[in-house]
Amino acid sequence: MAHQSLGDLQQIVMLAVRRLGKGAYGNAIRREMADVAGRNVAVSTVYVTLVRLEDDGLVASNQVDPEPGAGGRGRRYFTVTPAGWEALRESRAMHEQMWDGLVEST
Amino acid sequence: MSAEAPPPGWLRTVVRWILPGEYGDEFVADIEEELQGRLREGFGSRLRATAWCLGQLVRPDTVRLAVHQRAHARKAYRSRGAMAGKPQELAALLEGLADDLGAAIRSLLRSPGYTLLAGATLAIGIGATTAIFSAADATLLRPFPYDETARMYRFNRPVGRLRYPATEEQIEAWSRQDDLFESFLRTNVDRRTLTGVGPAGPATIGRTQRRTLDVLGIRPAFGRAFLPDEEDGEGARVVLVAHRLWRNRFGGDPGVLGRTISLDGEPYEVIGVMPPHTPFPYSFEYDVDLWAPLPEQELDRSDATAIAREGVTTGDIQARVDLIRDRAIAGGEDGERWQAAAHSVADDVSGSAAEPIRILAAASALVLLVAFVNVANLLLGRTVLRRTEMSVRSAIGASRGRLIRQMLIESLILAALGTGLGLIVAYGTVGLASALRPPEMVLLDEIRLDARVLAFAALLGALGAVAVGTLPAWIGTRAATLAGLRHSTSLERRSTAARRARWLLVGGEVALSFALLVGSVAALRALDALQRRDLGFPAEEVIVLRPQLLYWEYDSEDAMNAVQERFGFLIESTPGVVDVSVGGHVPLVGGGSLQTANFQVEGEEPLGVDHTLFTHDVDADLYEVMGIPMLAGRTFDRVEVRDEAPVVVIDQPTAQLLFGDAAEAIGRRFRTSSATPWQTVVGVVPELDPEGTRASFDEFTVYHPQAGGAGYVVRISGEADPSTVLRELTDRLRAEAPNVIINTDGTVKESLAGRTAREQFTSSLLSGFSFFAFLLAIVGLYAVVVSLVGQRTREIGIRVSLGATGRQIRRLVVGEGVAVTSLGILAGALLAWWGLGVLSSQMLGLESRHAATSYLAAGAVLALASLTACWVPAQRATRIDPVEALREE
Repeated sequence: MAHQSLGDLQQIVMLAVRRLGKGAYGNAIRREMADVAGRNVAVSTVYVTLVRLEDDGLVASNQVDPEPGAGGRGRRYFTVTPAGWEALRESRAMHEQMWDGLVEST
Repeated sequence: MSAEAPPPGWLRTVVRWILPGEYGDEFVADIEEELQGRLREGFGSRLRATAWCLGQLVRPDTVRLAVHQRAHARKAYRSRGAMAGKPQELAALLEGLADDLGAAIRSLLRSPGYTLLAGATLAIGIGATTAIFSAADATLLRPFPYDETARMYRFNRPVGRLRYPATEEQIEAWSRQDDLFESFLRTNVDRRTLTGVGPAGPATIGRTQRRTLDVLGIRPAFGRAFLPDEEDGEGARVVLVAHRLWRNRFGGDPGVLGRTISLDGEPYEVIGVMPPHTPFPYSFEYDVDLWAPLPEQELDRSDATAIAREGVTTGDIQARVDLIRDRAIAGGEDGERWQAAAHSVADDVSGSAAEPIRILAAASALVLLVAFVNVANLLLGRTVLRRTEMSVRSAIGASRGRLIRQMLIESLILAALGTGLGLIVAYGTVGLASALRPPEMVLLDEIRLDARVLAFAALLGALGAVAVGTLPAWIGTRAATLAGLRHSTSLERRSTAARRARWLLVGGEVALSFALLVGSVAALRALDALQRRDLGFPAEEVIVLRPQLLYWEYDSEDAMNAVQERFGFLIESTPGVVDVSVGGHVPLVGGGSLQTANFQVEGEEPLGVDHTLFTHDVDADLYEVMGIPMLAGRTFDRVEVRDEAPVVVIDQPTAQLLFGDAAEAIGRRFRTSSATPWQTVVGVVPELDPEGTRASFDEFTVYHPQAGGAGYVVRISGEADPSTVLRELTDRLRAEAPNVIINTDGTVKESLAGRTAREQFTSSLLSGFSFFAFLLAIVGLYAVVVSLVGQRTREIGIRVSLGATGRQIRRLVVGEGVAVTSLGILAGALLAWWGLGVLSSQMLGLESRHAATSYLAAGAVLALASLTACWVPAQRATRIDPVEALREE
């Protein structure tokens, strides 16, 4: 499946999902983006990005039932699919190729 | 506040509504988590946290997510395919509706000017109609806060053409009719002078029994009601303050309880404040300022209001009253003593408001109609522009029903916008109506934009959506087929149908607004004639002043008389004042007493008919000061005035009635009943105000000589400004007696203008409405001409290239508009002719002689405006470049 290159926001969301491992649900992803990348976005922005990535098969989600007795609620957890991981790596490679040979100067 | 507090319930509902399905749950869970986290970390107040939640929600991405969710759900539904049962169909329908709603909003947002124009137009119609509905609701439909009002009756004794209150004897007999009446409320109303709260001023005190409050379920807003022993003896000096007075004079001070105020110098204790909208159950039209207990000994000076049992009609009550009279006659009593007429209180009160409200309701309905037609026209114009869109949608499988549905949804959104804006218009109109209201329509102050009114506005909006949307949707989608994509014949036909419909609608608008214009011009002219009528004397140069001294502030009557005498000198020496007459009665303005008379000329038989007689006690110089000419004879002399001699001055109609002619009357004697002394006629004056303000009967006027009185009739110089003179007069009198209350309505002319307040009210609102209708019609006409020129650009281009001159092009464009306007004016004339017939029976002074000029004036204005509305686009059409025009297609 050929992808158009990932947008900046999409990459950050996917990386956050990946960093969170098994604990990647909406608000956790949002916080991770804020804490690590300094990107403060709205909850809905996270979800819009996630559902579009899901449509493209780059992330997958599954509903996890609440833990019994803990009083918690069930959440939808996201994972990056192999295709998604591939796309992330492609993006990174593209960036690195573009950077290659450039001297960091002003 | 608990850190575990969930997000507010309403927020959850909003989120679930916007985001149905799984992401809605997630969203709520996230917000909840975040909110709790923030509260735990002491991140400000709950309000701030909630604001943050809202901020999360109000994002374009929320809309994107919602759209995505819905698309997803639909896809899932389609993939289930044949499995679809009823619930899925409903879901699909709702999804479809949501799509249409989105499409409609996007489409309206793409042309904000058009949307705003249509919304504002609907707002004018809906606003005006809603305002009048709320006025009708407050005055006619449910004017009173008491449930018993519909069952309230009052009685009067007709004597000749006059009405007297029922006697205690009668009330006593009626109140025994338990099968008809639940109870009798007793009230009396007095004017007093209120001091002890701000400057001295007049106040109305309503006395009633403690029982009345119980029967009507009235409770003071705070404080207490009357106690049983407060009705004993002369009645306790305690008062409940009406809400309005409490607000205006006491500044809404809650510490008013226990305060002492003074009424005509007597101290009264304030025991409570009445709630707002609590009219005194005597005259619902004029509210009282203070409520006081009605003692037993005052009953014979009190009015009675009967509360009938459920289901009892005016007819039943009248039959019983007549029966009691007939029994009395059979028992050998005088039937006159038992004569009475029962009338419903609700009818009486609504009556004064009914005419103006009915006229205005009809007018606002016309404005509404014009607004609907206008918007229908705008929509119709738009469908023509959107023919390609419709054809494309039809080609890719949208059914005609679906297209109609989408267009109806668009008009529904417009109607919602119009209703929202309309409520603002209604609010303004109600405020205006309240400011302009005639004094007797007190109920207009009670207008509230409450749930009923909102429901009415919503109903109008829904009606509007259907009214404005149906025709354009029908015509606009009629030939939206694949063929329509090309410029085919079916499309041409559709354009023609739309064009015809548009012209028809514009013609209708012109007709309606013409009728309204004629009506309002006629009403204004009638009012003008009424105010400018010749009263027989220079009414604009006569000021009537009634300074009222607080008598309890003076030791003796002599002391008061001395002040009043000084008043006379002060007034006379005021700049601008030409002459002064002192007297209690002033014809047309005040004083005087009405009675019935059975005239008898000396040496002749009594006339044997009850005539209505107005008598005035006046000083000798009154006629000279007021500028009333003597038609025959002379005025009183000093001696006659001092002795109050049995001489009279009569007016022209009286002279005619009794003696056939003014000159014949001088020196003759007559009396008004066999029990009154003979009176010698010394002079005849003209009838004042022969055209009448609202005379319900023909009055005969007789003037008696009398000196003194607390009124001053002041003739001012024609060059002086009445308001300046009046200010100077009041200043001077106040300097002499600081606590004096000066009652004045200004000049006689101004005072009489107050009596046409109802006509002024009606005609000013009527003109406002007709102005809007006119504006809408012209805007509608202009819009149609502009868009038709737009559609005919190609045709016009060809014509120009074939050598058509500017004048020919102009004629082409203007011609159609002028033809339609003319037909509209003709149709409107028929409507106006019918409407004026109705109006003239309702509005004072409206006569056919005002009608002809009104037609001309309204016709001229409308013709000029519509010519301009056609001319401007026509002028633009002449500048169409043929090359450009042909390239465009």
